[in-house]
Amino acid sequence: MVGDQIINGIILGSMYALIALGYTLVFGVLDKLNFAHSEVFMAGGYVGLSWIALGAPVWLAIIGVAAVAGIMGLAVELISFRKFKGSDGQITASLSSLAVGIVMIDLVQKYWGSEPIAISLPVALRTAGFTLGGMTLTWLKVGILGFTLILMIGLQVLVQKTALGRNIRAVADNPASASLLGVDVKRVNQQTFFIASALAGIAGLLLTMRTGFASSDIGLGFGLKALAIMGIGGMGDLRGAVIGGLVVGLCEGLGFQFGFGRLADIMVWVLMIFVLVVRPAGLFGNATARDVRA
Amino acid sequence: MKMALSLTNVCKRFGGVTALDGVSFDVAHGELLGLVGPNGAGKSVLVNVVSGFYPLTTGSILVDGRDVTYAPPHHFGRLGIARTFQNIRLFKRMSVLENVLVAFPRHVRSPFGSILRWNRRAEIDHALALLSQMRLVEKADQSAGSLAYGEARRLEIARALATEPKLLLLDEPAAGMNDRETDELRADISDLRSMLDAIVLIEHNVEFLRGLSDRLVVLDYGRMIADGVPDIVLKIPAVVEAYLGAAEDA
Repeated sequence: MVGDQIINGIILGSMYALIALGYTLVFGVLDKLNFAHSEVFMAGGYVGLSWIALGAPVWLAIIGVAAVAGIMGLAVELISFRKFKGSDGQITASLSSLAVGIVMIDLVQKYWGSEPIAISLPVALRTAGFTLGGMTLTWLKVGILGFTLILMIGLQVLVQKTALGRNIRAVADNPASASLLGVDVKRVNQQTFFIASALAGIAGLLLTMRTGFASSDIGLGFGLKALAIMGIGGMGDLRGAVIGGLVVGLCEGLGFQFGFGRLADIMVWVLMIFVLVVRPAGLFGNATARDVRA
Repeated sequence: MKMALSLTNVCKRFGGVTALDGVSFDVAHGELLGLVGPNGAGKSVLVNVVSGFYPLTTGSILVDGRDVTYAPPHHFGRLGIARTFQNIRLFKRMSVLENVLVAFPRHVRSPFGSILRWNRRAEIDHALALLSQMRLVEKADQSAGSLAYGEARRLEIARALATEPKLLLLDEPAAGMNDRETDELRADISDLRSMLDAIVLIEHNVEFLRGLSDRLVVLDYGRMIADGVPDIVLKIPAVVEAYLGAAEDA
């Protein structure tokens, strides 16, 4: 059904958006790409199913995943990004984070094996639901949609309304000035990594709940798509990451519906090429602001 | 007696280039010191060193008797030093009000404590008071990137004041302003004196400082060539030669 594919597309898109938001936050404050990010997302699935296996209820597993993934983010910041200030070592730091990500994949495979692991959730959670206007909605889908929506609104409030968010925006805008005004740039970087990674970890758990499995090879595919979404939405723009993610998810869902099959997977790349040809700064990117910051 | 700012034998080298060569002077409490010199004399380097932006090569810097020579940049705000930049550096994508709010001293130490601090009413009121002092209160909700040049300068000063500094360093605040804006800025700076322990004002244009500053320090090629009351300093032959010589040749 078209309606079902729209819902599936939106759910997939909101996962993309959660990951893309993390790339965007880090890119905003550091002007660097964190390639370990997608592997924190991947690991989030395994950490989540471990919490569930330990008997934690879903809400506690989500908090647990956010905490563990956040700490992974702090480790990535320390290992790969701490020593490069400003725009120094943009490529070196990103390569270092790529290496950290690959090591994470190996560690996960060492511990859990390279085959996907099933999450032990009550079957009812994945099948029970209702139909609405021809769409079959399970409670799980509704829950995932509602929760990602809350996360996105929460992030928006955090960034726009709190002192922490103001510091993050100030560092993103001009780290040198922020530092001289007493903002501890190192701490803001850590906070940003924690938030970005916690979101990615939660996305990993939500995807695992949705598909029923955690697998160690999903990081690259999701990560690259989320990067493309950041390009589509505009580098460093949070609205762009959300809207870009939803648009790509919808396109993939509808592409699948209308028989593109595996070709649906290349939607994001075609979309990115098209958007970047028409608007090089992305949908929400502001070329002049970027020039000022560069 | 403790000085508001005390520089002792400050040297700054960039590779083989000596930008500051043994500069020593004090700024007394309540004083407005003018720092002048031709282009390339080392004025901006001096501000960058005093505000912790560049580590200095040798020498020491005391602020109100405390040694701040090796403090990291984000500590300088807490130490009571604020500065503005010659090329304006606002947070262009944030509102005028937010630019000031960022600068309020942080009392929160826990890493996530600042999540819980919403825009408190008292902070906003304080920020609006600073904006109204710098005649920007009507523009509070505009983005800082939309301000005119003179307004952006004044916002930089308001933002610096929000850190509750004792010592304010102004790096060529009148640069690029027209005559009317320059006169208004002189009046603004004069009004600031009661709020601050001391002001160091870097200026290329000596006329701007005449009548505004209590004392002048003159730099030339990174060396201090004069220190004293403006009317006397500006008559010292070395100063006239360093400063006005170039103009006469032109």
